[in-house]
Amino acid sequence: MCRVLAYLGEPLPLEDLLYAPDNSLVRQSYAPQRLRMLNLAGFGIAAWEQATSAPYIYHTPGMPVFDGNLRSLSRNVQAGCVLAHVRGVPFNENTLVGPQFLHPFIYPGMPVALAHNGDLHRFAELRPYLQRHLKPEIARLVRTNLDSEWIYALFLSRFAQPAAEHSAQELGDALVDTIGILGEARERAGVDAMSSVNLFVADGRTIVAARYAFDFGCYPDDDPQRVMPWHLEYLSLWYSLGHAYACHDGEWKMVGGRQDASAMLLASEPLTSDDSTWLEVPEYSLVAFEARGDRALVSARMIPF
Amino acid sequence: MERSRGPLSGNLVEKLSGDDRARLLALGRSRVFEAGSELVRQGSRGDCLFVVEQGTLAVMRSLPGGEEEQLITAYPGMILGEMAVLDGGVRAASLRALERCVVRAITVGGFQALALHGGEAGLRVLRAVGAMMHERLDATCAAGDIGCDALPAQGVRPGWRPVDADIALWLGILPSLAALDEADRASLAAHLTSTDLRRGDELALPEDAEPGVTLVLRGALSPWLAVEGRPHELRPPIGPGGFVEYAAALGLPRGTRCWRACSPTRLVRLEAAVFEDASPCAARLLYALARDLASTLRRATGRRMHFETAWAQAMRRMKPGIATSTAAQEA
Repeated sequence: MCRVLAYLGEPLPLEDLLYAPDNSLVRQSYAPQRLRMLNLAGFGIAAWEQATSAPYIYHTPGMPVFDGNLRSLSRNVQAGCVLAHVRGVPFNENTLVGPQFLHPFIYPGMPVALAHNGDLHRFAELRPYLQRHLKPEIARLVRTNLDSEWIYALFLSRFAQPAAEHSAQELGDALVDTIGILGEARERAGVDAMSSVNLFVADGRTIVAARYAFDFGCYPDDDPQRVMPWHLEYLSLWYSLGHAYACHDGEWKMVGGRQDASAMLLASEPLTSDDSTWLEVPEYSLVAFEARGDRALVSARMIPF
Repeated sequence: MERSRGPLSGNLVEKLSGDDRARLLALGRSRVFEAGSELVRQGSRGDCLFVVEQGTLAVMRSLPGGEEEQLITAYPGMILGEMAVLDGGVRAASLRALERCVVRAITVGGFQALALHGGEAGLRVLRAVGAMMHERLDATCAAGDIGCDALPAQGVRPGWRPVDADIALWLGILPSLAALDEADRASLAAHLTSTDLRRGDELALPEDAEPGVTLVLRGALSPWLAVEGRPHELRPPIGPGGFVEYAAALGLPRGTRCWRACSPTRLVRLEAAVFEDASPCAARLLYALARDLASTLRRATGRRMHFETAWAQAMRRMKPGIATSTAAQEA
């Protein structure tokens, strides 16, 4: 089911985000605290050193905890905007695993990256309905039949000029429109089983995330034994705000107060076992964080269901 | 600075008779805390609840960015720390003695012994705890003071029908009813009816004169009807196992609340009479309700802080006088 981490603020060594906290993203790949499955199908990161720079991209189908290159790079690369993802998949032979399936997705020439936590039930049946919502220039870039990549393509296709820069409001509007199109496709295909779509987009200056689930609580209704714990819980999404993310008294956390915050962390689960300085993003809502000068502006809104 | 709102207010001891109060307090041991000392820290495991006997305490909540705010001041008679005891989660706030305090600490085991095996007295204590959680939840979810939309129109009336023969099996998947055994679930089947809602259906509960307790069996309900703008209240959506309507079980006045189905949803309604006998099953059901309310209160507290954080920032960015309308558009 994947785990995601996003950061916006003063440039930090990637190691501080990926490895240092006691519930770091790399640790979440094999020991997540709020998910009853492992995330063993690869790792990816898009990291912007500066708001105006192109992101540094790294994908590996291996587990990040065994990746010495990633560890070494993370000590030496600093970034002020980060979107990272560990991929979790169902444990069966039908699952697609490989480098082309790794998040975050970012097509050449596009300023925005996207990562997805969740899955779309019976996605193959939705594709015919979704195809018509893709711009031809975006459809040409789609490499796989993975639901998450198609969500990215749908999202980019919401813009008149996908390669242009967009405001936080525009990114949020495009995410909400994308969710609406997915809902419409499910309706037409007669799909009403639960599907989670926690979505994260980043462009170096802005991070927007949506916490959403289609038909939450609609578990398989033919046999109680087939109902799994994840049918009964919303996928989690948390954030923290402050002036700086740093280690204080042995614990990594945001400090400096939330008033006029200049940094934010967003993650599928808090990066520390003590979650007292983290807030949960409400279900069916969207949060946006935008770097403007020395501040990270926050906004929130509901997503229709 | 202490906040004016009172989501953590509530005096359990006042809700109990003298005898029940004595039974509850007899389970605990008095402890003395000097001014400035910390009884519990937010984020730690909750192994006991506290009844304030003397002195005052500050209930402190951490905020993003490393700050803290004082939610309320706790006075003699108030019960504290019950949320973590009920739902098994971590402490939702820290407790600090503002002066020399005496508190009665009651362990989880002691509380459960009275609640689940204490007969009529246990049921009365559970109802009082449930009622207090309900009051706190209502206070936390009321969103009028942070500029939310007014309650929208009424919903539709569902038709209730007998449940399917295999209902006991399906009750077994609900996390909130995990403490019920097979015999409990089988005995409940005769007292249940169900109804199905389509995605987007709205309904108002309670919707008839028959008192009952309503749970989500499949799907989810949300009180957020004004989805294009700000919610009219901050109550979280309720998924499988969540209690939607429960006033009859706690002896509370029945207030109407509107809901929208987030998904194709099946509700089950349990006759209120099931909660009224002094059976072990009724005690387990009431405990499940109190635990569900504690868990919902924890989620509601977090979402309130989220919207306060996001909207407070939006407000500060706006010019005075146009702050509310512009922030609402932005949000």
